[in-house]
Amino acid sequence: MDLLDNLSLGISVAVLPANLLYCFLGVLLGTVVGVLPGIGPLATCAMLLPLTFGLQPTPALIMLAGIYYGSQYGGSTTAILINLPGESSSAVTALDGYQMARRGRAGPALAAAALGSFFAGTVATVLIAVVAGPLTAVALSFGPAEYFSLMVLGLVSSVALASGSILKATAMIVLGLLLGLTGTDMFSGTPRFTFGIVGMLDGIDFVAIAAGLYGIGEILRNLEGGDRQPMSVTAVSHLWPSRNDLKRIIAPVLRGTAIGSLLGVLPGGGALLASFVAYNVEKNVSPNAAEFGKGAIEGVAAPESANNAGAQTSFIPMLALGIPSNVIMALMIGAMIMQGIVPGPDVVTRNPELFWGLIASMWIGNAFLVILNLPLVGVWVSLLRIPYRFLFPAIVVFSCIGVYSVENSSFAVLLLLAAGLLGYLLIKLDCEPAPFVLGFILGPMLEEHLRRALTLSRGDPTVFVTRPISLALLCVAAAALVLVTRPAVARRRQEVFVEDEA
Amino acid sequence: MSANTKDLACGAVFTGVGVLYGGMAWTSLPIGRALAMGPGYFPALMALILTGLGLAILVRAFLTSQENPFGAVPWRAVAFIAVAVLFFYFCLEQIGMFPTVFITTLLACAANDRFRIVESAIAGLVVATFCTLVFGYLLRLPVPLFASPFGG
Repeated sequence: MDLLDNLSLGISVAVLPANLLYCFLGVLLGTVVGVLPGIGPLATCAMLLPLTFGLQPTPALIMLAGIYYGSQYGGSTTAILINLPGESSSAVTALDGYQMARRGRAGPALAAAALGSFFAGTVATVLIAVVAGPLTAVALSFGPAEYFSLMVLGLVSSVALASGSILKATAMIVLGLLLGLTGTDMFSGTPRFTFGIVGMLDGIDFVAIAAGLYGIGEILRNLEGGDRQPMSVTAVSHLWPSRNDLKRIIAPVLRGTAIGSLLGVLPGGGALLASFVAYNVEKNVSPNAAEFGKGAIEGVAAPESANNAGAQTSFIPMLALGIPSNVIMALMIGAMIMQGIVPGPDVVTRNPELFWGLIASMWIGNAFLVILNLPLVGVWVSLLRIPYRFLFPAIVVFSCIGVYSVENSSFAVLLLLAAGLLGYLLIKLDCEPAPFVLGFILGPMLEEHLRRALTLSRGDPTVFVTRPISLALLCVAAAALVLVTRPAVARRRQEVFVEDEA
Repeated sequence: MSANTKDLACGAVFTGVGVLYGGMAWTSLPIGRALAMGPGYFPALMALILTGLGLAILVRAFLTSQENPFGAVPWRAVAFIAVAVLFFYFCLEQIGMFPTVFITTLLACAANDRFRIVESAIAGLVVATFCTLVFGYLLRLPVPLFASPFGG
C-alpha cells in the first residue's frame, strides 16, 4: 500500500540522527521561547528562523515545524500557569486552565493539555499522510483559474474568521495585497511602489513584516500598561491526573481533535479558531457544563487537542497546494523558498523525503513535547519568573538580528521598525494583523494567477465560472461571505470571540 | 459632533493609502487591458477597492454615536524602541555585533518608565554575550563581532 510505503519512507528520514536532533532542538527552543509571556508562535518562528539557515532543506523545515508546535505548546503552559496566554489560540485554555491552577490542580491541567495534544497530533499526522497525497494529485490538475479562485476563497474565509469588523478585515486584506505587490513586476520587469529604494526592488521581506507586526508591535502594546510586575506563578505539584480526570477528558479530546483537524485545513482557520470552537462545543455538550469557567478539565483538554490538531492539519494546504492557510504557514512557505524549494503540488514528487520526512517528524516532535513538558515543567515555571522588563529588550535585539540575517541586509532592520510601528497603529485602530499578513503573502500569487488565467482564456473573464472546480470554490467563497454578514451569524460570531477578552 | 475616533482614523488611513497607491499606479505604471494586463492593472484595481472600503469605514464612523477613544499611547516606549532599532540599523556593520547588541539592549530597556541603569547594563551584557556566542561563533553570521568605525 502506497500510504504505508510513504509513511515508512518518512519515518526512515525522520529518525536519521541529525533529523532527530534538529527536531528535538526545534521543539525545545520553541517551547523555551513560547513559554515566555507575550511571545506568540509567529514571533517565535520569525526570531528563530535564522537558526535554520545553515541546514539542509529537510532538517531546516523539520526544525522550523518543531519550533512552531513547540512554541504553541509553550504558550499553553503559560496560559495555564499565569493566565497570560502568549498567543490567542491559548486564550481559551487560560479560562479553565488558570482556574484549575488556582485550585492547586495545575499538574492535571498540564497533563491533560499534553496528553490531549499528543493524541490530537498523532491523529492529525495520520490525517495529513492520508489526505495530502490525493489532494496533491487533484492540485496537479489545477490551472491558474482554480488557483485564483482557491486564493479568493482563502482570503474570504480569513475575513469571516477574523474577530471584529468585517469591513476592516477586508480592508486589511486589500492593504496587504497592495503592499505585497511591492517590488519588480515579474511579467514586465517594471519596479512597482518601491519609492525609488533599491532595497525594495525584491519586494518587502516577509520575515521583517512578521517580526515587526507580531514582535515589535506587540511589545509597544504591552508597554502601554507600564512595567508589570511578574505575576505569581502557581507551584506545580502532583502532575498525574486522577482516574476520574482521565475518564472525563476522553470524549473532549476526541471531539477537540475532530474539530481541530477539520478547521485547521480551512484557510484563515488554523489553531486559533479550532480552540475557540472546541471550547464552545464542549461547553454545550459536556455533562459538567456548569463547571466551565471555574476549572473544568474538559475546558482544557478540548481546546488544547483542537489547537494542536489544527496547527498540524494547517500544513495540508501548505504542503499539497503551496498555499498558506494562515500566517505561520506563510512563514513556512517563505522558509521553503529560501531553501530553494518551490512550494506546491510538485514537492511531493520532487522532494518526497522532505515531504514525508516532515510529516513523520511531526509525530516524533509531538512525542518529544510530552517528554519535555511533563517532567521538565519545573524549568518552564522558573522561566515564567523572568520579568517582562528584561524580556522585551531581548525580543527587540533578536528580532533585529533575525531579520538582518535573512539576507544579511541592514535595510530589513528598517522595514522591521516600519512594520512594528504600523502594527502598533493597526492594533490601536482595532484592526487585526492576520488578514493583512495573509493578503501580503498572497498578493503576488493572486495577481500572477489572475493574469495567467486571463491570458490563457484570451481575456475572457468567464473562465473563473466556466471551469467547474473554480466555480465551486467561488460559490463557497460567496456563500461564506453572505453567511457572515447575516445578522444572526454576526451576533453569534461576536459571542464566540468575546471570550478572547474575558 | 461625536464620531467613532478609531474608525475615523482607520478609514482615513485606508483611504489615504488607496488614493496614494492608486495615483502611483495610474500615473507611473502601464495599466493595459484584461487580456494583456500591464503592471498597473491589478494594483490600480486593489487601490480602488481599498479607497472604497476606506470611505465606507469613514461614513460608518460618522453614523455611529459611540466615541471609542484611542487610549494612552506610550510615547516614551515608542521613541526608545525606535531609537534602539535605528541604532542597530546604523551600527551593526560599523562597530560590530557585541557593542551594537549591548547598546541596543540598553536603549530598549530605557523604553520602560522605571529604567534602572545597572540592571539594564547587566541585561545588555548577558544578551550581547549570548548573541555573540550563538550568532557569531555558532551560526557564523557574516558580521564583525567587534569593529572600529574608523577602519582600524
